[in-house]
Amino acid sequence: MRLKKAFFLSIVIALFSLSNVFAYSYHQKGDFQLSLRLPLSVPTFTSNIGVKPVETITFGDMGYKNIIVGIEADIGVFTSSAVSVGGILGYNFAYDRGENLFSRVPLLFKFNYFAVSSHKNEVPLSLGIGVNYFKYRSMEHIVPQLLVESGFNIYWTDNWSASFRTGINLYAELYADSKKNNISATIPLVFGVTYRK
Amino acid sequence: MKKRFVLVSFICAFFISFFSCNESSSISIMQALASSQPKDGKRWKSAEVVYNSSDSNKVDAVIILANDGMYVVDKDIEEKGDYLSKPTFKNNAKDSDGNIIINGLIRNVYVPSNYNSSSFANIIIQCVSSQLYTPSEYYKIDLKNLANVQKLTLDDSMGKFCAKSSSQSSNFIMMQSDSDSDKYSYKIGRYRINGDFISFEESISIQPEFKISNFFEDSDALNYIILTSTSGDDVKEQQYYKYSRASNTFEKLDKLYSLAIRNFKVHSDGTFMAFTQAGGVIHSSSNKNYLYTSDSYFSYNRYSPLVYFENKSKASEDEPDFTFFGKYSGNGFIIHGYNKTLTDDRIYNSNYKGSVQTQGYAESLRAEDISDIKAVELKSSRDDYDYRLLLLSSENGISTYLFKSMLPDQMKYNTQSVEIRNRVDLFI
Repeated sequence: MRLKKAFFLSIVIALFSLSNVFAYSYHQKGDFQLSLRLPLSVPTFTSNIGVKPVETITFGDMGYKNIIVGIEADIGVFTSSAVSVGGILGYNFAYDRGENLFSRVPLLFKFNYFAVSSHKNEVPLSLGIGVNYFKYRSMEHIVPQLLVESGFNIYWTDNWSASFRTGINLYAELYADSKKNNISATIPLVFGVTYRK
Repeated sequence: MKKRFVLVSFICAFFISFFSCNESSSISIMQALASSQPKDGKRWKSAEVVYNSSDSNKVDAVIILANDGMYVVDKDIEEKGDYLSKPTFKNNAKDSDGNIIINGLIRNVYVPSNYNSSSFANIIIQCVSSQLYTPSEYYKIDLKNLANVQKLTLDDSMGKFCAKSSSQSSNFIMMQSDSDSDKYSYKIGRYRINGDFISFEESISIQPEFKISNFFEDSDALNYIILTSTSGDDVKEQQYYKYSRASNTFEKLDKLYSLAIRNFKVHSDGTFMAFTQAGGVIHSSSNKNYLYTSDSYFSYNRYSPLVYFENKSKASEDEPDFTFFGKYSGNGFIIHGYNKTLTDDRIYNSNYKGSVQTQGYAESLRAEDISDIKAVELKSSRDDYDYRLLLLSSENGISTYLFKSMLPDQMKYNTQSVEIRNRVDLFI
């Protein structure tokens, strides 16, 4: 747990350091970005917080046959030269060991801080919060989600870029029956294209 | 900006609270995912308890059928452990497998009426060549020497195995005969192994105008029998009939149509209790009215293979006459007590309902898709009954629950019960 904290803290510090190096910002208030994302998510852990002591399973024990794949639309409108707000709507799916479909539909509000924003490169740091619709066999549930991610955009024209993001997705599956409550996490590896204007 | 944030938060909160009400499963989605099994993984299908022929409080063996074959467990095998990893009789086994040769898939297990724990501990297995019901082959297996397997012949003129009694330690069977007329022809009686043959001792012969798929008898005297009739697999399409041996008549139980009944407890005066797929309990009375009750705990069950213990040593009127068990959607099982008697219309069950869910998550995360439940009542001493529940989860194997009391409110708490995982544990 300490290692994780240290890892994210070092990323944040590194990004803020970079922002001082590249003080120039490409964007202005009112600009927008639209991204088409192909997320590959690695299931990382599930912790049952409803029992004492808390029990945790990781990776292969979580029951997925493979990684989670999907497609997402990500839109952001700049409110200043370094900050944009927007959201994500998408569809992700995976199969369990028995090849039953697990689906989730994320609907997130997203805040992006651009530590680096130049003509050719961008390094955003993003925080997303929202809900997911989970569906698995006959079960369905709305699950709150917290997303922390960072990455880069590399522009090959003024408007089009290839993008990559990674970070962590946290899901809180909460029920009235507290024994079922759990927090799960995936590490996303997101590839996409971004259009900016 | 602030308004937008408030709006989004409100929408999120609405959806969360709305779907949080969807508590139809006792496990979460992540728990269910984690307990998923590979498609080609083992599936535990059904269990058969072979009681001791001279002492019904003892169990000689438990036979468990899985998709890969049949597992025979007795006291010695139980003590050795690891008996659930490899079938004793493997489906479609060849010589080279080192198994005893069985042609086809083992479909069912039968305990013949001449089964004798000490001198003739032979059971019958029925094998089919594929998943579909195809002509069967029958074998006898000596439980004292499992390598002693012999093919049996069933005379075509007797008909074919149609249904076996679901009553504990009963060995009645229904045979269906081919008939050229419009009427069907069935015989109910006991079957025995006679050398290389299966012979049949007929007790009742009936010729209804409907096809019968299952039967529930009141006792060895077969005074009253409830018959279920279905044109297909849909349990909701079943019709139910009561047969009276004395008058040789069929009474169609119209009011039960579409109730999807899974189990009957038939009393010797012809009245009965019925347990529905949805967990409802129905009591018939002599005036042909029915008292129906259902419990919200059961309301979301799909298939509840309900079994029950009968309270034979009732100490007070507050104790239920029956305590029955059903599948709890998601995991575990539910215990439900019921105090309705034949002469008393009051229902006393409210204090007794409760559930026991299997414990644990990370270590033994289990979404119990329960394929079979067997209630086994064993008298461990003169006045001391042990109530044992054999629970077969299709994916997660076997558990045995031991209860020192059959009062549901005492069973509910694990202070009175012991769960023994991956063990049959019925041999006292």
